[in-house]
Amino acid sequence: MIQHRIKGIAKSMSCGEMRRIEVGGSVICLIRTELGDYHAVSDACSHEPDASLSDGWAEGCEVECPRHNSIFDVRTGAALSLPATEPLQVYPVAIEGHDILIAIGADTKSE
Amino acid sequence: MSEESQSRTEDVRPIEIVEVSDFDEVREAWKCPHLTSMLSGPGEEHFHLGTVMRLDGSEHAFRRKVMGQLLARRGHTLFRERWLFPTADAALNEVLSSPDADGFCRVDLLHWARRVNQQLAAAITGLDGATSPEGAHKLFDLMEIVLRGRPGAFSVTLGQYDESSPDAQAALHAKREIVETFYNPSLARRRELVERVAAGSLAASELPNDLLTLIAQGADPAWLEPAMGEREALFLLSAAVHTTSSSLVWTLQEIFTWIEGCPERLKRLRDEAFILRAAQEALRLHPVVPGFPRGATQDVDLQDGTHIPEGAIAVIRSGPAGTSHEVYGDTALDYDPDRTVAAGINRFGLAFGMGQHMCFGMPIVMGTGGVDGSLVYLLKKVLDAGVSPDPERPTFDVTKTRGRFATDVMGESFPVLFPAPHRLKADTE
Repeated sequence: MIQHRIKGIAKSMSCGEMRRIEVGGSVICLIRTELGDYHAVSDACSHEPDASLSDGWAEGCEVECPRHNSIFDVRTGAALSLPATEPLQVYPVAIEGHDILIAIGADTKSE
Repeated sequence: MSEESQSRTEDVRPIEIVEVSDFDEVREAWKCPHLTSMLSGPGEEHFHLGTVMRLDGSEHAFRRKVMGQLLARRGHTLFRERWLFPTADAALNEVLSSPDADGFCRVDLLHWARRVNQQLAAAITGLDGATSPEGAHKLFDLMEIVLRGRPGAFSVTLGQYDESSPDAQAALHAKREIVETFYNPSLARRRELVERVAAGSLAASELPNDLLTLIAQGADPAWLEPAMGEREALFLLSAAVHTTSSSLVWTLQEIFTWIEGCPERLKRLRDEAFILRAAQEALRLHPVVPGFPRGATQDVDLQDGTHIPEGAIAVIRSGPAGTSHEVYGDTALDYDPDRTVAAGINRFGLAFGMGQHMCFGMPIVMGTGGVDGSLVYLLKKVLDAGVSPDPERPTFDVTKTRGRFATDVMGESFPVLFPAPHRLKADTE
């Protein structure tokens, strides 16, 4: 497991915001929910990999694909609405001050 | 022969047509960036030019996202609850309130479903005048004329659209009447609302959630051209009205056949999860459009060997693909609501398409998981009311229609019977 440190990003994200970030060779959708929690899931929709989830809509703990309105639970990656039936990859997230650590592999890397 | 028709004949281009009907190749073709939906030709400027169905790439992704707002955050649920359910309930009550002398209520269910779905489409588009019963009837009649006379992708691409034909002329007049009677007043109202939001006298949350509001907001700058907005609205008005209605009657046709001689099966139709499977199986077996044309922008070789030369039109056939024996087994052509499918394979086959042009209305029709969609709702309504085939209706062998577009066999009507409500109550008691 590698933890990738994204410096200062926690300070700049508002509640309900999503960002597409590339870390450790993975393209991730980082979400700050309306309650202030952070979650990271694969940015590519499991139904339509060309579609970027961070370009869609976030509501509560759900993210919705802008292409065909598939909905996913960002905590578990589960597909909640057709046409998607496959889950998203979920990446563990930790907060350190204003930094966010996203676990993909075993050392900490700064982006 | 007039100069105009001579010119039209000379304009007809010999274009190679390539059929794509293998399951894997159909999926590949839908996602292929070199097979474009941007088909055009004379006549397209009246109906589909520049609409979401004729865009590709980033332009399409942008338009689709803008329009996707209408259904996002489970907005499709609101459309169903606010418009479809009350409309369907009222329309069915109207049928059930007029039994014939023999105690049965008769209706053409295809026509009934089209009316119900048309009102839903009008709500999504945002045509205020079409929400009254009188307005809804008028819009329905005009839209039927448009649908009869508007050109398909093939005819415009092949240069075969004859704008002077009676059907085409009627469609153009009907389109103009729809724009003047419904579209313009509704758009004017939304522009006023948008201005009030800009002035701070109205909360943005008070704006209607419909296409015309998006157009009034200029959510896609392409809609600032008035004709473009009209075409988009007309496209959305027509989308899914005939197709969803056809799926409803194909499902019923299959259910009627499935319970023939097996009355014990009737009780399974009280289970909405079963109704969903019954509908999905019918969606798989009965495509409601003949095919999906795509123009090859370069030579394309699909994985199983089909070659589509640059300039040719690939016709993607979801019907035969959805009855693939490799994917659905030896019983692929059987109607089996209890069918099991492999992981990654949809029960409904390829009914909603795939790739960037996948059916926009799928969230309305299927909801989040299927049982909450419009199709299951309408099926439950008519099944609960005791629908049965009208014995006077000409019969046909439904097994011969599976895996292909067979609207010609189904015909333009689907007469059914309902027992009058008091009779249904007595029967169930």
